[in-house]
Amino acid sequence: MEKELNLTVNGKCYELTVEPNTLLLDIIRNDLGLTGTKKGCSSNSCGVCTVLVDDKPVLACSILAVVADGKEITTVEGLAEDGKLHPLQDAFIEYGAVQCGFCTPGMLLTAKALLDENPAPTENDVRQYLKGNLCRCTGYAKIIEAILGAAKEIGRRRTI
Amino acid sequence: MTSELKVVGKSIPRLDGYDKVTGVAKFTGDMWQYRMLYGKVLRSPYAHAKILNIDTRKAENLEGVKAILTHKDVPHVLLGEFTVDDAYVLTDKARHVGDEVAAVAAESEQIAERAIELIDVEYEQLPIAMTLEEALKPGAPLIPPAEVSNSNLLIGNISTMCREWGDIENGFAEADRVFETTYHTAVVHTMPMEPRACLAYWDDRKLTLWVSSQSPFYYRRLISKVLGIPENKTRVVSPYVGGGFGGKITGNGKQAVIAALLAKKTKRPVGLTYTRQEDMLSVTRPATDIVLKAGVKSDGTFTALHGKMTVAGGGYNWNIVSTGEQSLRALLRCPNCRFDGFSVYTNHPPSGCLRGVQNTIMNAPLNELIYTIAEEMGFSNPIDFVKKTRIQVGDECSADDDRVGLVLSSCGLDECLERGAKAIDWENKWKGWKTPVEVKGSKRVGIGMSALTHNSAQSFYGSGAVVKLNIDGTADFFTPVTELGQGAMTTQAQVLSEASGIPLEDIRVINADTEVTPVDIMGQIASSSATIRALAAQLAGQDARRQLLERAARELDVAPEALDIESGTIYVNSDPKRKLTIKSLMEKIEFGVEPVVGRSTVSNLHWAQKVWNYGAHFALVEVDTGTGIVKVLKYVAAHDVGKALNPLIVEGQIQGGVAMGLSLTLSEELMFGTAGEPLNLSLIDYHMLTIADYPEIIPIIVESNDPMGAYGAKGFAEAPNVGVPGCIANAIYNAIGIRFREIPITPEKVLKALREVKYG
Repeated sequence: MEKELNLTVNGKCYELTVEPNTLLLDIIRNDLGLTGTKKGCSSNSCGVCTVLVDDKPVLACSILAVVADGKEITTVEGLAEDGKLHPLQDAFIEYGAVQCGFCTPGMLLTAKALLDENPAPTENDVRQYLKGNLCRCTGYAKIIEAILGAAKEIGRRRTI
Repeated sequence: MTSELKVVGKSIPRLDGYDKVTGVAKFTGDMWQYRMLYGKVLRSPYAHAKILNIDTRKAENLEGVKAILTHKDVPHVLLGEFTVDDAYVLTDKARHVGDEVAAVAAESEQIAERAIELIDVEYEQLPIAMTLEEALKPGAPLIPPAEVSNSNLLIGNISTMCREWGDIENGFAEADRVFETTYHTAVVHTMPMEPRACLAYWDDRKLTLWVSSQSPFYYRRLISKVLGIPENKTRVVSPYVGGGFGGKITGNGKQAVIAALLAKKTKRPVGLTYTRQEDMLSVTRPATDIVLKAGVKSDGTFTALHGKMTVAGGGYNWNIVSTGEQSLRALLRCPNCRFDGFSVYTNHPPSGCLRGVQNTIMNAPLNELIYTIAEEMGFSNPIDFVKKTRIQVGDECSADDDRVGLVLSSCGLDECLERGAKAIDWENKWKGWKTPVEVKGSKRVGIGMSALTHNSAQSFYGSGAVVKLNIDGTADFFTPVTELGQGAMTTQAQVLSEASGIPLEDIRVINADTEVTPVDIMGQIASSSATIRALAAQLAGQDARRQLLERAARELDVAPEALDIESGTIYVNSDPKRKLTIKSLMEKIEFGVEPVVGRSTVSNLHWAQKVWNYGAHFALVEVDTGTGIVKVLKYVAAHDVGKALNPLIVEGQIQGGVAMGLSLTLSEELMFGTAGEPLNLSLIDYHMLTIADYPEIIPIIVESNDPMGAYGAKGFAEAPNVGVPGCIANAIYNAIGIRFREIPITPEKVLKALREVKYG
């Protein structure tokens, strides 16, 4: 009962044959070797496996790979362009938003989806949008600063 | 001196930041090896049960299953984690739901899971003890094995740790007033985002284990002992660890040995990664009861402090109950103290450490008594009272009874109190005892504070560091620190750079690998890295610097004392144009210049308990008397860190520790049913606070420049969690006049307590 599957991940096309019950997370981590996407709870509740599917944040532990057939997926490995970090990645380093780093990939992708939807969010917008992404290290304060800082930087670059 | 620092004290972005924002960073569960098998553990569904028979035949016949282990196949050697050796790797008597009964290695995760389902176990259920009363009553079921409970470590289900300083009886006899309170905490979990993982690999010569642990050297000792192989044939590596908080210094031992045994049996690498549920069952902070009694003179001077702490320690009792003595010993000036700690086996999951361990729990009732006594003795506010009664530099402060005579080396508590009070606007907000800041309809705003101390490294820690200069002038820096989020790789490299003169960008950190770094006894625990390992880095750096200057002195034909190093260039002080770079010096190795290897070994045997960190916390809370919901409006945490090696990292530790404390105080509890079964074994049901729930958390850094630490630093990252429960309870008391003596303080409990009260 294997299924054919076409995925575009970080701009690269993959043709895969998968069991229909395979989770998208397992394809990304095991078949494609993109281990930046983490496995934290396998039950839709911690957010460390967040990836973008057609630019929307999705928990990869909770959807079947076949559901993503034909779609474009972005993982943390695809955030930088031509070796240049995304402003969110720069800001996470600069503002001290990274500690153990296990939640960081999911945080970055959810934050990217937020800034794509809402280029100038308020602090409260950030808090509401990211509430599905848990972090035990930072207390979130520097994550919020980093996202607001990145939003400003992206805005500044647009106006140049 | 401090003003001349070039690298230490700077908010340098962390060295592991790039790896972690790009997905390059490898955690144990991200690793894979050629022909790797997948391990899976069969766990007991019962809280207390004897295993009568295990039938593995069906599982063995499943295609793809390569090995099955039960208690019959593992070494009959007791292992323990920090406290009593009380566990066998796989058990013939389950002591909690989730206890490890059998293990499988198979070609895929799915096959391993299926094989686990095919193992038939015949259990005989035994009576259980899920409360202290049940575990302590006559005829209570005996939980640890007879060979442990009959040893001198235990009496039945109890291990005891009592200490006294001064004379407690005299202390109470001298007192004008005696005050007493009680306190209770629920079972909680450290909940790092990364569930624990392990990968084991044998070759002909040795065992290699990658473990998501805070303490690779500690686990090397444990594994080497259980497997009977020498330490130099046991390599333990901790790659990036996805959070620890104390939870990954206990509860990794069985997992590591299981993976190693499966790998040995199959002669193939075995990965064993636990699910969130398995991780939650591996180790917890136990439910704890406290009775705390204080004797005071009529002017508020303390004459006696007596804390009794009893821990419902679970089926494997690895909690360090003795840490409960710290608040009694090193916060207030009190000549007569006593701590009675009791660790009782119950049928909960194993108990272990959580950021601040039992000191976090003792601090809350102590801050209640501080409030009560200050109010009764006529003080107008708690801050003045703490200032008057706090410990002083030079006071005896060691907690271990074999370390009598050590005196406190530094204390920044007054500055923490003053700057914290200013940041929360105490002067205008504090209206007096039990007088809320503001009442708006059903909402009452309260202000509260707490004072705290915590250890900067516990006793008996040895460590070291090595730095090796390469021919191109770069350096390899070998340090045992584990990078589990606190930024130890970065701060270690900063200290080394400062001490040696080697530019930070030329230093590569090689860490947490027992095969290459100096031995480190306990690992990343007890806020020890910024204390003892930073000192090791400083001394190794100074050693390298001395060697560089000696060699450069010969090349430049001056005395070494005439030289200095800046940005990788060595120059003559009186004539800076006479210079050479570290790179050009090291390139002369082929012309007779000796290689440079800086090294250090350190022990804190003689000074560990002179060094304590201090802090003061302040909170504004709003209690909705209609719903019972406590909303934290603003939180200020001021911490004496000795010297901030990296202020950006220090702020992150303060904010993160406070956030953890708020979640533990207001929300988290692992609940159990009457058969000892966990009721909320998932992140959704366990309910940590989220980004949307937190207030503004303002970190304040106070620097007391401790004379013992590297550049004055003290380890402190547990402390931000220590002050929270007491501070929030005091703020709620200010808002509604009700004293909560247990955590979590849930809306349900608040509402229930409010039923008894009518506000005028």
